Amino acid sequence: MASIRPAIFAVICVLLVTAALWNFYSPDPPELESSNLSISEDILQLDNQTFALVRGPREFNFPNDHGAHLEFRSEWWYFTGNVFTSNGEHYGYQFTIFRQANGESKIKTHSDWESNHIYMAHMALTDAANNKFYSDEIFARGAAGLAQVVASPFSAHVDHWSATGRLINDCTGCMALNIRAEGDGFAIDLDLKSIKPVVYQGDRGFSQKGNSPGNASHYYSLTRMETKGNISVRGTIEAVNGLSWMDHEWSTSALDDQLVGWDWVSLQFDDGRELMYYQLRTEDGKAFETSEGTLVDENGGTERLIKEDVEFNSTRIWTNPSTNISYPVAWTFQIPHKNLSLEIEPMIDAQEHDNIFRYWEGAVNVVGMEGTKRIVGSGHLELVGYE
Amino acid sequence: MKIIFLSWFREILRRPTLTILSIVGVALGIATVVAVDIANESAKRSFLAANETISGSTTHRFTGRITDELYRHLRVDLGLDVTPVVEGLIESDRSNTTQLRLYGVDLLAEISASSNYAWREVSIESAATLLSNPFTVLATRDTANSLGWSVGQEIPVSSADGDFKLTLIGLLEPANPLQAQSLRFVLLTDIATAQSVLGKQGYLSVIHALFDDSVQINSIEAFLPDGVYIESQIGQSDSQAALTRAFQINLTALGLLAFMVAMFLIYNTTSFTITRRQRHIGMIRALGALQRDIVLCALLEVLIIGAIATIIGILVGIQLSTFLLELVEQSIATLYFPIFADITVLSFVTIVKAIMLGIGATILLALPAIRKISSTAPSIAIGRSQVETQSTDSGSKLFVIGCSLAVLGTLVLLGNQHSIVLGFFGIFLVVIGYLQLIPLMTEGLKRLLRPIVKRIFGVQGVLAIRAFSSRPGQTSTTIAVLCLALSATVGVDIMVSSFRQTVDEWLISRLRGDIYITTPSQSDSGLASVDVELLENLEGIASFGLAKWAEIPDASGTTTVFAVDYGENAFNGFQFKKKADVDLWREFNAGAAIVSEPYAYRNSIQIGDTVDLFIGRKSVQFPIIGVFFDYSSDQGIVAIHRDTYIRHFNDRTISSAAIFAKPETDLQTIADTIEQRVLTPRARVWRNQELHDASMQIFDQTFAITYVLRTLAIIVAFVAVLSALATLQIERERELVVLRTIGFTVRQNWSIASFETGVMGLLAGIFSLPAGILMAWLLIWVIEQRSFGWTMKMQLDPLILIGAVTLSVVAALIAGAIVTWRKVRKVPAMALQGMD
Repeated sequence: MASIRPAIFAVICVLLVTAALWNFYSPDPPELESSNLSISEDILQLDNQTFALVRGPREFNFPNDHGAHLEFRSEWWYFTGNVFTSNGEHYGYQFTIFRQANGESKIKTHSDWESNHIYMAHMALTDAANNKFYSDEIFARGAAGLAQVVASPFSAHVDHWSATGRLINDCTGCMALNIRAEGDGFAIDLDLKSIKPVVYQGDRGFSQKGNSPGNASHYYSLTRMETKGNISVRGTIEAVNGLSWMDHEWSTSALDDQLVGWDWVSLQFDDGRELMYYQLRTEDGKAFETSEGTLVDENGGTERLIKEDVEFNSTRIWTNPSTNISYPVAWTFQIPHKNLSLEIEPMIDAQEHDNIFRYWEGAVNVVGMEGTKRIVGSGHLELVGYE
Repeated sequence: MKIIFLSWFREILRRPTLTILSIVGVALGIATVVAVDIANESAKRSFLAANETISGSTTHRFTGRITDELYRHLRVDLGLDVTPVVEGLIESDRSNTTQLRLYGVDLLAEISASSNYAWREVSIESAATLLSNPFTVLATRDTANSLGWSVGQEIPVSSADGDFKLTLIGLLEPANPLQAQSLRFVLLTDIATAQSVLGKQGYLSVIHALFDDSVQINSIEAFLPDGVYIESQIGQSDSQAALTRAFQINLTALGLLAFMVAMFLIYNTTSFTITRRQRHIGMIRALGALQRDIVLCALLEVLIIGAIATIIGILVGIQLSTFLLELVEQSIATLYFPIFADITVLSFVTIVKAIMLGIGATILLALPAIRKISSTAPSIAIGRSQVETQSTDSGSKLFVIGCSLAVLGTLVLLGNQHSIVLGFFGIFLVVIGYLQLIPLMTEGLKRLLRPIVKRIFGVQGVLAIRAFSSRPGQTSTTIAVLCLALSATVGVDIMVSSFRQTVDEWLISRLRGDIYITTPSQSDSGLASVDVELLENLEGIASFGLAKWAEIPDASGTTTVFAVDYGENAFNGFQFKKKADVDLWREFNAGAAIVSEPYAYRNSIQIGDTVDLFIGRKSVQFPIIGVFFDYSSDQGIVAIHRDTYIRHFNDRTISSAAIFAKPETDLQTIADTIEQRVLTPRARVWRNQELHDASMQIFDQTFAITYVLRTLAIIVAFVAVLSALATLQIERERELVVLRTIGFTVRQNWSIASFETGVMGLLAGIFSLPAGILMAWLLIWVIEQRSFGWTMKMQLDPLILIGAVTLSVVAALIAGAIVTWRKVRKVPAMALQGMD
């Protein structure tokens, strides 16, 4: 009898410990610890050969070329501008529609929702007076009426963000547009009207980006568009006036493998001229040989600028404390043979689009000298590919 | 003081069996409560999580016949925060368990939406990939594994619209276990694929919306086309949770029942453990221990027992809950819709509950015994006379208490006609009241039995009867414990068997057709017209009728409408609880409605009222001419003639067909012919008997958990009886030894002991019958009516009653045999001296 009692207690103890271990120390399956949903994509083989390549200059034809070029993989319609309230408060804005196509599948669903075109729209507003930057993005498929770009009458929309307009008779490709979009906490409703003719960037709108044939885009701009309308920030609506710039560019393959990003700037000067310049960056941070730009005179005449014509250098780095990415937000731009020297400063430093696609793009002020003539203006700077 | 403690606990070690039994009993009771609690909580969580995961935290949803264009209008023209869903069930040969839920979404819209959608974490690349690759899906690893499906592999599936091949292109990695379980058997796909596979091109199943205060719901309603409805999501998930509430309350009540048995057990064992110490207490008090010391020691012992039992109870309960959960899941799936509740949720509240019951209740129940023993004078305690004899509540006092409790319980039952919780409370009061009468009844029966026993069993029988009547308090508590557990068994068994019988009769009456063809409820198109033509031309068919099951909007949500045209004979299969004094068949043909009993109960409907259903924004009234018995839905259904339905709703689709064969035709041949020739995908052909059997199978599945909980209560009761008898026998030891010394054999002693426990078992069994029948009647009358709105005819199955008594006697005998095994063999001299 005496030997049984300890045995009973021992058994109870063992049972208790086993039960405790069983319940509290069994590890969760490892896959549950991951915090997001993702898919593995290496098994997909899309047909990328079906897209057209940009191999040389083309004859532009409006209004059709304002619309989408679905035979090419990527395309964007870019609207940027600087607008002012009657009190002189300065706002920068950006509204962009991107189209990106995936290879088409051979199997069809016979559903109106099927599409291999994905549209993305970005909008941003810089409130200089309050040192605030707002940005938002949306996505939609190019089907079921959710997103599309139609040339005539011009209508581009992604969900309920839209740019609609018409051609203006007196100049080829010139447009009057309304841009309307509502992001998280801010909105724009602006009327744009081009007051200068279409500028064909690069070689007659053929913009060579990489060295390989086909690594190029078709690219034209409406560099000066009178802008008026309303912006609203956190429920306050302000009437504004100013200038906008429109870019439209499409390609299938643009960057060579060694290129990691680009720094792009568009400037509108008070003297009626505009400047666009981009430099493509290689992995070692140097400007690639195909970097180029255009100087537009008061009447719309253009002068092509190649890499050797300019000195484009950053003067200040800003690091976003939340993403820890550093961007060269201030620059000097010089065209030595014209004796032109510009200093480009952001309206505010914090103009990073911290969304799914992360980049820095924002309104800038520019001051400088051309010989002894003082130059003032504003514009937009885009910094892509920084990590 | 230290020495008193040591002495006290040394005494426990001397007789560990009793202590172990008390721990086991209390632990089992707690385990049951904990397990039911966990199962309930987990089921509820997964139920809500399933909703949440898929629809996100949205405020409204659009249902009905939603076109792609309506969605475009809401999202593009109005800029509303809406996301579309096309969903439906599909089948795969690989899935032997269940259907798969194909869930088509627009991931781009989900990513863009500002609301907190579940798919928000899906990368834009994944979204693009899914979008650009038709017939591809994502699933969780669990789902893929259970289908034996690896990434990149194509598997065939079939839907109401045909056969397709789907490729798994990636794994969904859920953020947490709750999400993981709600995504089980869900295949996430693009909306284009979902439309195509489910045959819903141009239409959406649901639009989820997140509206802030600025959105005017009225102005949206104003332009919604006919057949599209907007409803608030917030109320929606509440009402879905309410669906299972009734079911869960039933479970909780059964769990509490098991615990109540355990409480009796606790009371029983604590009072025994303490009273059995009277001699020991007398001795240590004589040696100078204070009354306070005794109380402290006793409290500490009870506290330790309670604590150990609570820990074991919680641990065992967790194990038990996984098993219960499976059953709960099955029942909810059968009654409502599939949920996958794999995660057990042990909440803080459950632990607190277990501690309160395990330690709190144990101490509380031990207090009377502690008070009694501590106040006993040492000289009395040491003496051989039983403490028991001087201090039991008198029968008449208990009678008054019992009757008061029963009256109070009845008042509670009558006072509130709708509350399920109060219903259970009332039932418990009545039953506990009844249990108070047991000492009185035991005394009565004993007097009745004594002359009979004497004649048949002679002196041994009389000794046995006298033995337990010398301790009325202890014996009647033991009998009460067994009786309570048995009456619960009898009650639940009668309730379920009555219900089963009622449903069986109802099915036989209702299923008048010889052969039925049914289509999946998700199929919009229903039975194909070629199949109707097939029936028209098939030999051996006398007639056939068609019916449509439809969800029609009403003022508060939707109503299930059964639009039937199975003919007059089948109509007579409706059994009416109430009916208007008219020619029902003629009025039914003319456009009147009949409603099921739960529908009438839920909506407080009388004959002569109307059912209001919405057609677009107009409402149509259907006069109610009858309330029929129906057990197919606890939400209730409205039946109208199919012609009436077509006239108002312009919908000619068919959900099912009933076929009436010519006399003397071979039904199997007709069924086989139809089966071979029917073209509607996934249509099923049933012979009358098959449909009946399948329905009964569902019924049995639903009630599986009830049987489990009932069995648990019996196990607890068995342990209780075992411990009660063990204590009784310890006290009887001396008597039996005395009998041995005066010449009784081991065998004779054995039979006295067995006879005694057998009689106790018999009494408990007999007492449990009225209590069980009462409980069944209350369960049927109060609970089933209140939870589900169903009327049941109570059926007294003699087998259940005989079974209960037999079980009681057998359990008592086994328990008796176990505890007396050693005692009767003791060497008399040693036992007389009180030595082990």
